[in-house]
Amino acid sequence: MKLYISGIIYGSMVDGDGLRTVIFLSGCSVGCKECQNKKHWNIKSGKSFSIDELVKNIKEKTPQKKVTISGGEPLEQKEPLKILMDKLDGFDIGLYTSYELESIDKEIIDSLSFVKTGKFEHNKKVYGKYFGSSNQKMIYLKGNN
Amino acid sequence: MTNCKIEEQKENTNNYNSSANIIYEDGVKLHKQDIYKHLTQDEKNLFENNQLYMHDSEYFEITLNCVAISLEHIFKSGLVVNNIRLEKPTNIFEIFTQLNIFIINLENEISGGLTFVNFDHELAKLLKESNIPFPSTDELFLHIQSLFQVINFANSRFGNQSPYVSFTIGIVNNKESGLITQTVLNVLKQGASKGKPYIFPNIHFRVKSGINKEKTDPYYDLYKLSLKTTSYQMNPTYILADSEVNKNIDPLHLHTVGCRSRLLETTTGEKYGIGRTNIGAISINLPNIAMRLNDKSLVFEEIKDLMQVALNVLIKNQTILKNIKLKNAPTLVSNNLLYPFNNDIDSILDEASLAIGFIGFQEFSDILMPYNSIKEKHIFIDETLDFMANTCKRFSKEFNKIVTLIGVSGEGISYHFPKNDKTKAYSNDYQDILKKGFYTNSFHIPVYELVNPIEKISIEGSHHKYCNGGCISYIEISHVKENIEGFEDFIKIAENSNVHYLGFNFEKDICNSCGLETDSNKICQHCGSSDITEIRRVSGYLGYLNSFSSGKKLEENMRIRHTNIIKADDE
Repeated sequence: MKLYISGIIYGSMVDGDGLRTVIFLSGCSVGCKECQNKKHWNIKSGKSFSIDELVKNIKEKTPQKKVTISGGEPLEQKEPLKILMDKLDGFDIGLYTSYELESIDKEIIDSLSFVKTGKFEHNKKVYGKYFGSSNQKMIYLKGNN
Repeated sequence: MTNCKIEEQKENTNNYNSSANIIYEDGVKLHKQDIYKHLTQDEKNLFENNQLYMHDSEYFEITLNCVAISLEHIFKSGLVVNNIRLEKPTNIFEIFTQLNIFIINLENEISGGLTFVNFDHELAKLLKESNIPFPSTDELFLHIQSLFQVINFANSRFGNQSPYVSFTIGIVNNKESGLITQTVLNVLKQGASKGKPYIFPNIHFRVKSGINKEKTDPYYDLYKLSLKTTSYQMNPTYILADSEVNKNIDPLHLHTVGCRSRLLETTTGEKYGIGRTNIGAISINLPNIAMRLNDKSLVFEEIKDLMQVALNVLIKNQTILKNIKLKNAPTLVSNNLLYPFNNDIDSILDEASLAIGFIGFQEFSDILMPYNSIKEKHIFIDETLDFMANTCKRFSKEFNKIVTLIGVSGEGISYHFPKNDKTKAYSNDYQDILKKGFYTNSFHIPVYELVNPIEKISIEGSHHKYCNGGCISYIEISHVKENIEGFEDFIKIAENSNVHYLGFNFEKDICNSCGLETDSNKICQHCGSSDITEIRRVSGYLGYLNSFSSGKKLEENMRIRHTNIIKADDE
């Protein structure tokens, strides 16, 4: 199975606790007005990767075993995402989504250490935090932190 | 003279205008020539052609470069100043007063940096042994704060600069020493004025399992406080006591002096870090060698020859300092502060290291192997460093000296070397490499290279073991201050990559109107003011951006945050 990816950051300090590899999944139908990544709304704007190839790269370059799944709207590639998360065994996984907690599959929630929920609203922009606007919520799961 | 011209000629970020500075600058020019009296014409040509460079050469035949000192030794039998032995301190005021006196005197006797090894541990011990009651946290804070204020603002060195003082902390064994570590960090975190960081002193925190590194360690909270402080002020930097080269050394002996000097080697082979010094440092212009020879198979021989000349010159200085019996460093000598602590100048100077430095490994490898990947280039850099380290070892044995290898920051030469090389005919083919106007420090992966921070640490980490005279790796980060765990992750990865000394750099912009930190260096997001001071680290210490020396300003301009690289993974 393939995943469409618009970019990866190895070694981010601003996408959740710790030093994290951030995987940006392409494709988003939410359409936030002030989105800075409009060019990634189309899923095909990203590059397609086999999940095994992606897992191999991430494991090799993430000795600290911490990743954040971001986007786009990552849950729009829910099925391959589940497989990716499954294969990143032993990883601390965080998720940035515009969905609210109630609408995320339990199977996904169970593998996460945190989830940041809610749409980005430009007029509520905040500085110096892991999220973009004050309406968004950072929810720590699994007693992590 | 126009301001612009002053900026162009600025050699050292840490120099301020004063009347004394005018006299000082003239003196520096005059004494920079003294070294030539001792050189053959061939040796002289190498220095004049910018193939070799003597750091702080104005001190040649005058004094030592860099010292690591123990607080215990200063106060053991009463500090001697101007031939007068002061009374041993009976209260904390006297300790800090005498410490100030000591710093001001010593920094005017030597060149380079002065490090207090084990400041926290030894101050606690001193208080106890002198039967001085341990002060309240508030009182201790004020003493340390006023010490730092004087170091940072008094321009007590030559009347034109702050003394390059460092404190090494973090290896503690009781409540009192831990409280001193904590207070040093709190003073540092609060900043010098309206949140602006202290430029000096530099603080080095040693990270060691069993003491402060793991969550279960007794002083883990100090490590966390240290990281928190770094997240605000870029200071402390981190000595990784569990890294490959450090793990078998008593952590109380690990230190850094000045921007990165490591003074641990002894003639007996023991690693001993207290009461140590250095005769001087001479650096090799590596890109120049690459341009002249343009052949990988020829460069080793040339490097060896230049190292031999560097050593000869350093030995000459060592001999001169023996002859003058270190007369220009009376506080250092009369207090018997240097290993092996026997008051014998000859044996003290025999135990002082002779440091051979290098700059521009990146450009060196770009010239010699333009079509290879970063990884391939660094395999060659590793081989070259291995050769240089072995040459130092061989020299040490052959000449019965301590010859060390150091990856220098080269505040002046990062700019002067390429400027001069550009005028030579052999550089014609390499104008693309020279046009950026500076050479990259040490073996560092250049600031403009798109490489993720984990790769950067692991590539640079492999080189650390060769630099027994000192080196550092830096990570450029964009970060949020709450993310202490991120700093911890970086340190773990660095330690596993054999890095022994690590620093974090980030853009720190402070609004002068409201005093708050701002995300933009143009307009303050809090009050809209455009009066913003930009604080950056180059050459091992912090500075305000408009005061940087030319090469470093160019370098700063090209920096890319290592933690802010987005690329589709196409490998």
